Amino acid sequence: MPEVTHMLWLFAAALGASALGGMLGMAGGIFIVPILTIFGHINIHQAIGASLVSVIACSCGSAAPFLKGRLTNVRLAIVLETCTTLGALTGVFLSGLLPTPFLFFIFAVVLLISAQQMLARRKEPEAVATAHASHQWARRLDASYPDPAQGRDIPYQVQHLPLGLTLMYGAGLLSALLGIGSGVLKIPAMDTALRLPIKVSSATSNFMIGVTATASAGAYFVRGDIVGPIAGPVALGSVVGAILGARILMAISNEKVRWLFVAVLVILAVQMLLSAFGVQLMPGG
Amino acid sequence: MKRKPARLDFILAWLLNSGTGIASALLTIWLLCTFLGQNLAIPLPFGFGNLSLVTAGIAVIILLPVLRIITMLVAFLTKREYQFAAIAALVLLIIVCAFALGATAA
Repeated sequence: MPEVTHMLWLFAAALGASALGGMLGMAGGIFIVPILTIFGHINIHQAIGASLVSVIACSCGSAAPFLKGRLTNVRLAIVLETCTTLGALTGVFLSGLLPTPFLFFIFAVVLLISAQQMLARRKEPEAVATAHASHQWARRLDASYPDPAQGRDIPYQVQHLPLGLTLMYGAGLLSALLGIGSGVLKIPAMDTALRLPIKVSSATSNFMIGVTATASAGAYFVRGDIVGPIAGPVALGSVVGAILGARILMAISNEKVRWLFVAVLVILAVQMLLSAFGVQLMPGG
Repeated sequence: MKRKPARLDFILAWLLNSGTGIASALLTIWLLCTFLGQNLAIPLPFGFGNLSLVTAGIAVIILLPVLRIITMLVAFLTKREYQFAAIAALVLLIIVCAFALGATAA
């Protein structure tokens, strides 16, 4: 069982990762596994388990303001969750079969794509007025969200649902396999396929990730890969970090944080690639 | 025209907020007790032994989204939105399958 100082270190590391993520309005889950495996020398499966618990905690802890602000589309969320949870189920199955170096490798690729996405800013998708006749059912998912600047509700339509569902399956799979929130696949799914307004897509994907991660976290928990003295401090640190991050967000320049975020992602990607090929820079603990 | 959030949105916000609060409280008490060298546990009924605070906190976090789906299922049934209720039931079933898959690998 880890010592008290080790638990304090885990708490602080998760707090830092989550605060950094929170400053950009995204989950810090992507940092947790690399930090735990590279610096904490924790087994990757236990690190993924701990990260999944923190991903759920952050998703649930930050959902309320979005729900009350009518930004979360709960009907769309439940429809997309059929695919994210199916993806998670596949991920849980695969996680036991894939060799550890391969997991490090996929993680490194995901970190690099995230860095690239961070640099290429998200643009508000253009609204398409014509709905596809073949996807009439998707019209039941259309909604509106309040825009404080214009002082009125802006209606939006959900586009290309089948493509969105397919990408969500991939997001669920990645989430279960790597213990992350899978923004890497959810951003293209929400922006390019479903064409949701950014505020709605951020709120809805944050809402969904709790359920997606629960499917895999439950399996990891039952399998014994969620170790209390590791997952406990990480989850608590993440929740506190997310709250702090949102506060700091107001105080400092978004541009500086963006570059810091990209730099950290690239450093961790290089380290994860080295781990994939069996090179260990950090002294073993 | 400005609309109020739907009642379901308010219920879900309350559920997720209070659940995270309870889990965070359990984990904080556990962490403080560990620093002080104490090992507090919750006694379980029917001779199931004791549940450590950290396991209880993690279990609350993992079960919170399950409760969220059950709440949505009930809400859709109450509103007679049977298609959405069926979709919620399907998500619940997939989650149960994932838990079972973990159990077989344990």
